[in-house]
Amino acid sequence: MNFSTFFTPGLLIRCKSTQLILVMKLTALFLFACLCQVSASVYSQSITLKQKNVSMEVIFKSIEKQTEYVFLYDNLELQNAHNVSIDVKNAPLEQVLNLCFKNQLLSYKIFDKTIVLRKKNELISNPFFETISGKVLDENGLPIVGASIMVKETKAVTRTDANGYFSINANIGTTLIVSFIGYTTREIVIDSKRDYSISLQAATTELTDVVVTALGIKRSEKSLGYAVQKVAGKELQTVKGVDVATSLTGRVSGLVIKNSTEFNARPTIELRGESALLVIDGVPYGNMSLRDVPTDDIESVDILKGPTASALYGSRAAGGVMLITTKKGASGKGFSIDVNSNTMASLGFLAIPEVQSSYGRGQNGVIDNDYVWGPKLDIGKTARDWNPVTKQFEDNMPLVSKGKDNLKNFTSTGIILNNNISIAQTGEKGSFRIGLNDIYNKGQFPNQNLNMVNLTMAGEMKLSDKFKLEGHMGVSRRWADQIWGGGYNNQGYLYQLIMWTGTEYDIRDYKDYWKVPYKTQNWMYTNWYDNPYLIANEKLNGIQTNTVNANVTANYQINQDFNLLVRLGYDNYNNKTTFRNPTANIYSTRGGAVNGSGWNAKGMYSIEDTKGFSTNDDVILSYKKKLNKFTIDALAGGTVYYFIDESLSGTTKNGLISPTFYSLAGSVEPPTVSQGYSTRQINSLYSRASIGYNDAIFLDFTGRNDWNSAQPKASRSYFYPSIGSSIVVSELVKLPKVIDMFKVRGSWAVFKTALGVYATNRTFGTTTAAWNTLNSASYPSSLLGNSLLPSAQRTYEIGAAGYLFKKRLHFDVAYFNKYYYNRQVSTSIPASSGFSTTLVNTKETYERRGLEITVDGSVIRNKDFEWYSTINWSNQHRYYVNLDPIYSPDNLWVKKGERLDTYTDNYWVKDPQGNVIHESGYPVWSDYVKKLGYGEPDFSFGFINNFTYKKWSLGINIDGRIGGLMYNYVYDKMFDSGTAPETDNEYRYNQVVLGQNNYVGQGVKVVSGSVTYDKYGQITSDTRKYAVNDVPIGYQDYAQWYRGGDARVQNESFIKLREVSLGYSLPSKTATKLGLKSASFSLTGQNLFMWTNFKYSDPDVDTENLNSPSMRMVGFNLKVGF
Amino acid sequence: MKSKFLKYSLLLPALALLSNGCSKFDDINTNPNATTQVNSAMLATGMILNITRGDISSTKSFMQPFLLGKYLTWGEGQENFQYNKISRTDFNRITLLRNITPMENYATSDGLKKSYQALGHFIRAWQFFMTTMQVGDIPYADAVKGESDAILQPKYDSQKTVFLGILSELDQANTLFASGATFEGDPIFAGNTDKWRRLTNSFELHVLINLYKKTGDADLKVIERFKDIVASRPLMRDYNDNFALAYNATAGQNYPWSDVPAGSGNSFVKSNYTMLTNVLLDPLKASNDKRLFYYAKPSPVKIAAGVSQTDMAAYPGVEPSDSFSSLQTRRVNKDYADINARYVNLVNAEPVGVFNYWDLQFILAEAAIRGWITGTPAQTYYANGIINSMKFIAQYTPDLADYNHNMKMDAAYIDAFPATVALTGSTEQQIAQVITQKYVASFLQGNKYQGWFENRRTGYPVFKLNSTTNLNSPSTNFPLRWLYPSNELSYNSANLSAAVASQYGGSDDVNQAMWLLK
Repeated sequence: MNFSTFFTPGLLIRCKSTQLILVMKLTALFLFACLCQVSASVYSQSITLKQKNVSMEVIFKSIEKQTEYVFLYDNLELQNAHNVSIDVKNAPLEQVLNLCFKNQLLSYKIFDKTIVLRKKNELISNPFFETISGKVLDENGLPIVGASIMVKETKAVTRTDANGYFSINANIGTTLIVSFIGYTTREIVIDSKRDYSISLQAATTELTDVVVTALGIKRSEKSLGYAVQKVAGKELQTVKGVDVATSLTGRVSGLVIKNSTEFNARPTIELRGESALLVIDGVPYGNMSLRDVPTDDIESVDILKGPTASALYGSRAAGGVMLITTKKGASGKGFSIDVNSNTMASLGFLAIPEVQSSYGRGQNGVIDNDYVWGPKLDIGKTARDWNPVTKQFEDNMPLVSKGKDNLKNFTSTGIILNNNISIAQTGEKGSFRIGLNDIYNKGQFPNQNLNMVNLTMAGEMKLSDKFKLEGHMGVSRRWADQIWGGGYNNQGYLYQLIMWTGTEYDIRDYKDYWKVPYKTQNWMYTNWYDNPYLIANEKLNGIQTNTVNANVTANYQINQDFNLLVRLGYDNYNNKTTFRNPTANIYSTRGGAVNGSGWNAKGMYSIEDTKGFSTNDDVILSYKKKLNKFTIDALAGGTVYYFIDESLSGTTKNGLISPTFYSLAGSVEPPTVSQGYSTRQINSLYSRASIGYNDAIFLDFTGRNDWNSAQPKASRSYFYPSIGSSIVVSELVKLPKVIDMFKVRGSWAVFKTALGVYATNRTFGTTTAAWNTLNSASYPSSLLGNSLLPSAQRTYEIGAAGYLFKKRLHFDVAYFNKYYYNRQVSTSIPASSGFSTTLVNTKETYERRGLEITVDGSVIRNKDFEWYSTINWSNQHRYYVNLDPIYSPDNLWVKKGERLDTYTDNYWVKDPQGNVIHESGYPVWSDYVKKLGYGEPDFSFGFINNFTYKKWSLGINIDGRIGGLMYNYVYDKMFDSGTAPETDNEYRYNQVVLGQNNYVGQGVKVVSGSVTYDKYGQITSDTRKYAVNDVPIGYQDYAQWYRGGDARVQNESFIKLREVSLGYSLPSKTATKLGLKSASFSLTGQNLFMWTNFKYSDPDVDTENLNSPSMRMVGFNLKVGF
Repeated sequence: MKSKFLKYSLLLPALALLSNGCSKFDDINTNPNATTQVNSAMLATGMILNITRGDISSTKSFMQPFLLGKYLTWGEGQENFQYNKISRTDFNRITLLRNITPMENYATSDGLKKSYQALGHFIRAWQFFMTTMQVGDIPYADAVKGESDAILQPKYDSQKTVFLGILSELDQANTLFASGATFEGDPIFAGNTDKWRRLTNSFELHVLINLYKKTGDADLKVIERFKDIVASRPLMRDYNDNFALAYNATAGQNYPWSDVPAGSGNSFVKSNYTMLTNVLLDPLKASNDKRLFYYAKPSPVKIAAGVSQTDMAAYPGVEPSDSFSSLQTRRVNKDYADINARYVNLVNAEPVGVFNYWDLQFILAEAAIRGWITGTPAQTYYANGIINSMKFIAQYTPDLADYNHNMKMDAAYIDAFPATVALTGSTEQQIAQVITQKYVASFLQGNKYQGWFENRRTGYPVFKLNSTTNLNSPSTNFPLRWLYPSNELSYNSANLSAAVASQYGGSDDVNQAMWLLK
């Protein structure tokens, strides 16, 4: 059958670019049409071949594909072979081979299922063989079953048995060639030994060569027109924290993981600055997070960064895709049990706030119920203060700084136990695997206990040669009784311990937190602040989450060329969040309990139940064909994605009728109830066509049409295409010998993303019983533009990748440009219009541009030692391209070519010499804002190193983000509260101890003249004259006003030693003696060291809100295989 | 057979599409938890609550205007308003007005339509007035037309045009209320159109008295209008007609300063951040006004030193322009008068009126002094204002020593008091007396920034200008206005620039005088 019969290249070439989209739309139709024309060839041991003037290698590959036979040969020998032409139909193997080897200098011999090539006329002389025996092992010391062993000189061939053993006849001085798919072939020269133990190394380049792409299709990396980076699951399975995402930090260029120090907080994952779609075994579930995938289940993680990469997933994958492939069975054949246990405990901190301990709580040097600007401590003075033992205020309590380490003393060792056991069996007809994972995380603050249990089951069945079924199911449950205690506005632990209480008390004396249970605290404050132990044990925010996910994939190989896949994916969640506090004198009543009601001194109970499901179902027909030098790879399919999210929440109102009646039934007034419901359906049809030429030039087209329920009727259906190409230069041009492979690639794609659910609903806001019995309503404050089109993003990407120095060194460079246009934006409009926002397709457009570089390879490699290193570097920024005449704000930084992440703020007004201008002794804070810098980092990087020496391995991962400004809340606010160590100076001493309110701020004051500003805050006229500031004010007032000067914004750059593991695996012999297949032990560490100028807080999470201390975790890992 | 199977499998997604036709998609995308159908009453409730309670829903926001008006000081941290630092405002009052058209459209009868139209005009007038008082020129004719006329960048109107509009809308409200029906959704007057009409007319007098420098303007006809309203329209009759929201024990409906039960949520109150100033206390002391004992709590230091709580000397006022550190020292040493315990202990310490009967009476007194109206002597209005203020306080204060410090105001005292502070002296002196009484009566009462606006307009009561603590630039004067909202700077730049150019020579500056003040 001729290629052009079913995919007419002429049509493609003829059409203009405007017609391209139409062509792509028609691709599915073409594919369907061709189905009717093709008569399926029947799979058999006989061979059908029609090739003209092709290399022997091509013939061999075709035969390997059609039969179970494997060719074994030396490349050098093939170089001299002539090309052949052949045209046979259902011919027996021998007939085909004889045709091929006619007129060749080579002949062949068949051993079992292996066809061995040898030079013609070469005699198998020397009949004096020795019997050589041995065993072939993989890098973990496990036997390799079915490895080929060939004597180079005699072409004698054998295979290893089920235990990895072989025996073969060979002479001293001859060479054994040992090979196995996926492993680097080794050559062993026979010496006097008669027994060999040969270990093969996994061919790492093979691993990166095949990647999983959209819809779960495995493709050769060199054929891709976009950037893909793969992380093998086993790289993540030694240092196991609470979240596998943390272990991914720095491993992929363009992938930024922001790790939080808060208890139960998930890392934020950004791919090229956007959130990526998580796809597990081909299913883009709606409700799964990386947390729902146990680390040990992961076979591999493939990050699809490029636009064409994720095109087939549609708008949900606009930011890229994170593809997880899970394990479906044992790695070898047979039965196995694997245990992987990692235990880590905290050992010190990478970042923790420091406080001054010279002055106690109070104001203006006097002990008080608020602030930490109180009396000088440790100078023999006393005050009326709380006695935590007698639980009352008493006179003559000594003012001493016994609470210097209150925060540290309040924390305790954090623990992470991450245990996994998996049982797997792989047989002829399929495989099955059950994994059970348990994570226990004890946080650093009291009563923080998180449990996560995951049960997964996966397997595959080969029902026939053509029909394969795969299934995966996971059940995960997480629960914690108390996750409260972070943040400023939530009045968490740092708010109490660092910000607003002094060091004149020792927190350890307050563990008995009740004076009168459920009435009065044992606490020195009667306002604002609570005993932190009371928060830990009585103001409880509990969570419970349950997630179930399942998928079934059916694969039907219709014939050699066509394959039909049907995949059903479903997930379901049911979560509960509760807040409760007793009726008692609690003071820190803020916080985001459901409905924003906060804690309540009259008692409070709040519960929110959320549940929902999503289903994603695909039907995909794919076609693969190799014709002469062309390979065709095409598919067409459809998806239905549908989800429903529901929530029901209730909060008691005006207190509880009895102190601990934690139920909506305990509400004093009728409880506040609210309900949520959200749903969307997307129906899609899509197709892809890939054409490869000579394994060197590849071309990809995709097209997808969505029907999205959230779009208005007129724009509900929308189409978006992509095109990509890869050219393997090394296959086309003779390159220097050091270059093994070099390719360039490029791609272009358009994405369209629909409106948010209900975005086009214009509904009234209503309040039941807004005042007594009156209900109130308000008209929507947002306007809705006409004919809202889906937002569009056009991306192009170019890149290059290559292997050098015999595949020792690999590099990949990608530059991308993503243009955001037609954006649906709920943009601000002047309040005087009567409305606050309007939802429109703005004319304001911007581009995201970025560069990603990955270089990896063996820095040092010899017999026993290898240092494999990977460097990832990436950056990306957004830049305005066009502005909207109406909706773009008028200021100095929303400008064409300017970055979007401008960091702006008001500022201290200065004179032309840069001196801070003072008014009445205080620095003047401008009414205008200006650009201070940028909020996002200049670049981020990862430096991943693996050292192996015999059975030892050492992993060292370093990563960081450089540049960017961030508001340092804790540092800034401590100047206000009075706990900042910088405030412990002579001026404060003079004020508190000597009673002098005569601090004079450094700077100038205005003595005459005035200044005018334009609307941007730029000076238009200035006649001011200055003198040195000489107005004295109290130091406390000055510090509270001026804070740390300009330092409220700090550079958030950091470099972290993220992970270290030092491991030893038992030699297989020792393991066998112990009755094990394998065993290894590692010392592990996560979040070990940090270099940063950001004060008191770990900037990794990219926001400062009184972040909890950043814990260093160290421990050990034990892996055992049975 | 094979191709049949293929055909059907390819049809699957197509079938899925067909079975989920457009109508199903519309159903999917309709939020079941939000409504597109309400009624006039609900919209009225939302707006009335917004203008009476919105600004004062929290303790700290309730307190802010009284800092600018120098009634009290705040010890949590140095507050800009206490030291005359005024920055940007917003136009959120104007966005509220989008609710008016749907409120009118939902009216189910002609009478109700008139009432809701009248209410709409009143609320528009109220909001535009409060907004223009802060900045000067504002969008008026083009405002609130984002949906109806797609005007997303409204032009600014001169302050005079805005005032003409406000007066005209209040006139219309008066007419419409006169023939409107009792309406639902009113938490203040229970839909009584007569009371609304009285409020509308009284408020129009407030607008007109603010135009006292514009009496020569032929378009505004300030005095003519004033006279006509006093002569021919119903006005508020006593404090029961106050435009005031009464608080109660229901959650979220407590008096903004209350901390009920003691020891619950209101940390601001428990922190004792407030100290009453001499600006408030000195006039009370000078006239032996017993309202002092209802407003204040004696200094514990003075009480400990043996001063009686019935002695005004037990209530030392602080000078709000003193340096913050000296005030803090004063505060932590506890020798000051705090706000009366009733504001903290009672869920409805008193209804908070944003326009009160006594405001009307003091306006009438001022107009009589200025000669705009004749017939009734200024003293009568003036006495009425004082008496109603006192009666109101006595009415809402339980007879407890903690609240009146054994200095109860009985009817005889109240009736006799105005004569002891009778109007006397020059016009200017009499106006000073009227405004001072207005100031005193408006403690924790009145529309937002009322005390400060009155001071800006008349100079009374005199605020001390302390250039060593004044945070205005320059520190040698008080600011006169707010800066325009940043939201307008960003999204309505050209129109705003034109307004700033025509009023203030291109510089949006807090020290410049708007048309009204010239």
